[in-house]
Amino acid sequence: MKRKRIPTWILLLAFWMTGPQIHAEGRMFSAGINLLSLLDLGTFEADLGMGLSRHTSVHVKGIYNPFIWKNTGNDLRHKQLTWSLQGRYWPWYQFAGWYVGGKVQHSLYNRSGWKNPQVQEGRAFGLGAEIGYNWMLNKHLNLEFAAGCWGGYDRHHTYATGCCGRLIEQDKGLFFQPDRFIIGLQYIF
Amino acid sequence: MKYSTITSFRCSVFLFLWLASSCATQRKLELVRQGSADAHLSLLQEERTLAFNHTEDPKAQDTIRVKDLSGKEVFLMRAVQDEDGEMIASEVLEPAVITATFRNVAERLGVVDLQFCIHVPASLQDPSWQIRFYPKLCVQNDTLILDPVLVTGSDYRQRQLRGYEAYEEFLRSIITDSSQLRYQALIAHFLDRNENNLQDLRWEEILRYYERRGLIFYNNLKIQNLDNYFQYKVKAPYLNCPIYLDTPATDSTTTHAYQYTLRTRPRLRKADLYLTGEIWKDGSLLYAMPQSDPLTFYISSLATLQEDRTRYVQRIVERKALTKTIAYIDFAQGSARIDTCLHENASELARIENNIVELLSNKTFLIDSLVITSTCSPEGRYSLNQRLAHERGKSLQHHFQQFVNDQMAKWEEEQKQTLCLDWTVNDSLQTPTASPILPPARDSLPAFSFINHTIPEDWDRLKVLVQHDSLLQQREELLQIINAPLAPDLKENQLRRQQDFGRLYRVLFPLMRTVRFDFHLHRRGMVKDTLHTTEIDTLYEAGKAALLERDFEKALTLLRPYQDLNTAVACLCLDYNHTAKSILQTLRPSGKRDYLLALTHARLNERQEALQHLVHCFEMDPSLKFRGNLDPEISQLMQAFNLNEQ
Repeated sequence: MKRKRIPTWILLLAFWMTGPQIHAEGRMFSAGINLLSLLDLGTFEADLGMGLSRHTSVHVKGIYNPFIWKNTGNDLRHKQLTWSLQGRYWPWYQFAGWYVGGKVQHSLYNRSGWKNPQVQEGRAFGLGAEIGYNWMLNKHLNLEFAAGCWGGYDRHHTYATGCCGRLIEQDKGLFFQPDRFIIGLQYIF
Repeated sequence: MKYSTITSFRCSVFLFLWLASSCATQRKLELVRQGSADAHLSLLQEERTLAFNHTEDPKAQDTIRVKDLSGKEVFLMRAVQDEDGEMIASEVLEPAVITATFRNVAERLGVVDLQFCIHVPASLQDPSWQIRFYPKLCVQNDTLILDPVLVTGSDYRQRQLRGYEAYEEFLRSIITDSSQLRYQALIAHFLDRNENNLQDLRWEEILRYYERRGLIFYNNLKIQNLDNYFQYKVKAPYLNCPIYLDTPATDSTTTHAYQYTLRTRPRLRKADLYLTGEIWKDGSLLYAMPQSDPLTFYISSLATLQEDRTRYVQRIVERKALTKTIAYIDFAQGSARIDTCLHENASELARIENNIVELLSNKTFLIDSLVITSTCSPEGRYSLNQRLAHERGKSLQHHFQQFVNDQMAKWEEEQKQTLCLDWTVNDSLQTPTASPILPPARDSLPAFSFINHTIPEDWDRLKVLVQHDSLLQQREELLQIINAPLAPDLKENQLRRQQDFGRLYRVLFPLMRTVRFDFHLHRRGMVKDTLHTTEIDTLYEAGKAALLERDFEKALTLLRPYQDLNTAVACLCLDYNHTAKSILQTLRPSGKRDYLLALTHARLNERQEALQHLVHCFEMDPSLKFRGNLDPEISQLMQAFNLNEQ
């Protein structure tokens, strides 16, 4: 799989969000991980968020999985590099209670091994929605539950195997699918 | 297999026992309905043990009927040997218990203690029942339901308590602490996290968001259904009224003493007591008992010992009478003409005219004369005031003379019209009347004289007015001038020089321009100047009536000045024993007096003196022996010393 560079503007945005504004008076930030995603063949999912107002916050999320799990049969892999930029609306208060979110997401993926040894590799870009709930455990820690879906444009190749496999298929088009199920921890500061 | 056999055996035994108990209860209820098991009332008295031969079985038959070999019926009876050696048949009768149904009770200090017993037979009591007895007191036209007596079976009580326990558990499950209806931990975390950002938030908003809505809804549902749950769980609630006694049911006949203090009323002679009851099971009425036979309490009072005597007071009636009235009639300056439009003249004149008409119509008095005294204020010359006062007096005299003449003429006309009408009616009916019908109280039209009297300048009145006027600053100087032995005009000149003359002129002088009317009257048909009559002392009569009405405080207040037997009775009714004793000791000996004195001594624990007076009393009036049974103080003495037999 080709390694893609993370676009510079995302890095700048992350720097802006995590830079000197961290301790700006009244503004809250969050950093969280999705524990449930670890069950997805060790996918690491993290996000950083920043509260904009009482009811709104913006989040940047990254999902990374470089692993290939060797199996007696097929190799299992759900390699991906996904980033998304999400805005959330909190009916009560930021980082507390229910929220609904909308996001724009880009994903590079390489997966195989679930049904057959064929490897599907591709890129997807689209929009998504999410709904979740944050339960406050203490002053800084939240337990987050969420579910989301997304849809957009996808282009992928399908190979016969994971290593030097024959190209079987090449496809592109629109898609819509459930996206994430989150049970995670958020650190608020 | 074995297990199922044992289980089915146990079930059938349980079913049998349950059926047996419910049948027994049904049978008991039938007995109650038939009247075989009834509660009843009795008077509270000491238990009397009857002489009874316990060696013999009271149920054993003395007489047995048998048939001999020929089929003839033979009576075999118990026989005893008499003094002649003869065998005589005897039969032992079962003792008969006679229960009194009435009692004499004495009223003391306005109250009567009614004591009685409620007997509950064993056959009426059941563990699953509650029997409620309601004593009913009929007093004159009123019915009082006394506090009930409950006899509660153990099963009934257990079910009752279980129901209340379940209900209390339900009550305890209702959350009353509002903090438990919120996510307190979340509120604390939220406040901790956002302590710098809460300026836009209201406390109520935070509380409302973190309410546990489901729990609140469920809690409110419980609160709304409190009554329903109570009715569901507590089938046999406690009575919602004061209860005299709540006692457990037993296997034997029980007797419950009851005491009720009744406040006496006027003319209260007796009170009838009835007993009604109900049998309840599981909160529903099984049976309502019919009303029992009455117990009668005859109420005696010391007030009935009062003397029915009448006192008289002497009254002196004089033939002549005088009534006065003052009118403020204004005249124009220098004028003696009566102007009805001036100030209050119209109302003042009308008032005087009404007085005259009332006196003319009075059935008791006749007018002899009317003295009109008119006065003037001191301003102006004395001679002028003198003439003016006289003319004004004449003017008023003429006015009222004319009024009286007009009034008399009007009455005469009314009289004539009444006579004509009567004759006309009688003519039409063709029934001649014996004498004409005259209007009442006007059959003699009075004639009286008018006397005119004047006080030109009423300096005495001015003096009184000045003395009572607190707003005058030179009061002493003014009084000096008024009292000075000077001519009126000179005094007036000196007054004019005073600072307070303005007030005198504006306020006090008008009060001096008055006309006084003195009506000299005499009683119709009375020739003597004075008449001495006796009439009934209404105060004494009111005191006696208050005694009968049981208003002892009022009776004593009215009778205290008389210091006689009735006063003593009022004192005794209020337990003022020493006062009663001191009064009675001053009275002449009599049956009632000695009886009351004996009662007083008995109350004061002076037995010797009480007995002495009691013996004297019975000697003078033997009928009071029967009265003695009605008063506990006397009846105790009579019983202790056997005075009934002597």
